[in-house]
Amino acid sequence: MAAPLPLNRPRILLASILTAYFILLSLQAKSRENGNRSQLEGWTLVILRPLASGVSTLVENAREAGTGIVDLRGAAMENARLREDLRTRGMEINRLHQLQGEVERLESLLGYRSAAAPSGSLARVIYADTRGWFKSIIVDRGTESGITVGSPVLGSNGLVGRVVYSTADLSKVQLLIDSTASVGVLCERTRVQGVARGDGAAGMTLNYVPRGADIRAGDRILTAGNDGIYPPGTLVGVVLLAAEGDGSFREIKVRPAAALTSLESVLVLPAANLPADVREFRP
Amino acid sequence: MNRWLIAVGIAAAAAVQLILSKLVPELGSRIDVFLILIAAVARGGDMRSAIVTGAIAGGIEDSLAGQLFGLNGFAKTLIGYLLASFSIRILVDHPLAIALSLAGSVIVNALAIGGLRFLLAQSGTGPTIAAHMSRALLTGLAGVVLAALARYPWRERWRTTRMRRLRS
Repeated sequence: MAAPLPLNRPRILLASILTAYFILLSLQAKSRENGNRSQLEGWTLVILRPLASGVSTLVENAREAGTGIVDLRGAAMENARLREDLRTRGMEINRLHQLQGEVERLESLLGYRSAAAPSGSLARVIYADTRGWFKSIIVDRGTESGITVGSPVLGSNGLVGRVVYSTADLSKVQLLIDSTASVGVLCERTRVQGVARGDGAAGMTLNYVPRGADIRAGDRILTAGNDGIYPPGTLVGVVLLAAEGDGSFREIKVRPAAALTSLESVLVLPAANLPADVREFRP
Repeated sequence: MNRWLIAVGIAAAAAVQLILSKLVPELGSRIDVFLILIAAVARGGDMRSAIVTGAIAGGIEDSLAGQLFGLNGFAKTLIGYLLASFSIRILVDHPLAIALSLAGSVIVNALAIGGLRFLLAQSGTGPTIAAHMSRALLTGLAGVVLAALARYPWRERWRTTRMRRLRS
C-alpha cells in the first residue's frame, strides 16, 4: 500500500498545493472558453454567500442611515421638486400611452409582431472587481431566479454585461469594460454597425467601423442584437473620440453609459433562446 | 498558529475586502487585505500555517474575482511560503521591513499571476504597472498601520484609564 503524503513537511505541502492549483488551472484554461468553470469556484461562492450578503446589507443600511440624516435637511425642497417632477412625468406617461396605442394600431394594420418586453429579475451587486485582470461583479441572484450563463445584465443607464457563471443564488457578471467582452452595436444616428470591445480599463473601443463611416463624438451607441446575447436597442455608451485611424477602420473610443464602477443594483434579463446547434457551435 | 484564529482571520479579511469594495471601491482594489493576513501569519514563522492560509485566502479571492480559479491561490500559497521562509531567517518587525515585505509580496503576486496567465495562454489586459505600484504602496502602508494597531497595548491602556476613573 502506498504511504500517505507527508504533508506535515512544509515543502511537500507547498508542492502538493501548487501542483493541485496548477492542474486545476490547466483544466480550466481550455474548457473556460466554452463557459465551463471549476466546481470549486461554485463551492467557495456558496460558502461566501452568507458573509457577502450580510456585509452588503450592513453597508447599505449604514449608508442609508448616513444619507437619511443628511437628506432630512433638504427634504422639503426635494419634496416640492419631486412633486413637480411627478406632474411632468404624468403628462409624459399619458403622451406615451397615446403613442403606444397608435403604434399598436399601426402594427395590427401592418401585421407586424413585436417582441414582447423581456421580464428580468432585479439583483443587488454584492461585490465588484473593476481593477483586476477580469472586470466583473457578483450579484445576489442565480439559477433559482431563472438566471443562466449568457443572461444580459442592464443597469439604470444602460448595458452592463452578461452572466458568465451562476450558482443557485449568486451570479458572476462580466462587465463590458473587460478586455475579453464584446458586443454587436450600431450608431443610433447613422445606423453604422460595429463591434464594441472592452479596453480592459474603464472604457470601450468601437471596432470594424470602416473609414469614412459617419460617426462623431457624442453619438449614442446601441446594441444591434446581432450577437445572439444582448437585446437590440439597449444603450451601450456614448462616443468619446472618433479618429480616422491608420488602417481601413476608424479608431473610436466609447464611454459606457452605465456607471460600471459604482453599480448598486442591476436587472438581469433571461438569456436569449438560441437554437441548440447555434448555442453549442464551436468553430 | 491556532487554526481557529486563522479561520477567523480569513473570514475577517474577506469581510473587509467586501466592505471596501462596496464602500470605497478605489481603495478596495488597491489594498490586498488577504496578503496582509498571510504576511501576519508568516511573521510567526510557522510555514505550514502560512502556506495553508495563502492557499485558502487565495482561493477565496479567486472566487470573488472573475479570472481563472486558482491564479491567486497559486500565487498566495507561494507567497505564504516565501514570507515564512524570510521570517525564519530575518526578523520582520520594523515598520519599514513590514511595508517592504508587503510591497514586495504584491509585486511577486502580480508576477506570478502574469506568468501563469502567459503559460496558460490567457488573453486579456491586466492592471497597469502604475496600478501595481500603487497597490504595493497602499498594501504596505495598510499593513504597517494594522501591525501597529495589533501591537498597541489596548488592554493596559484600558486598565489605566479605568483605574484613573475609579480613583477620581
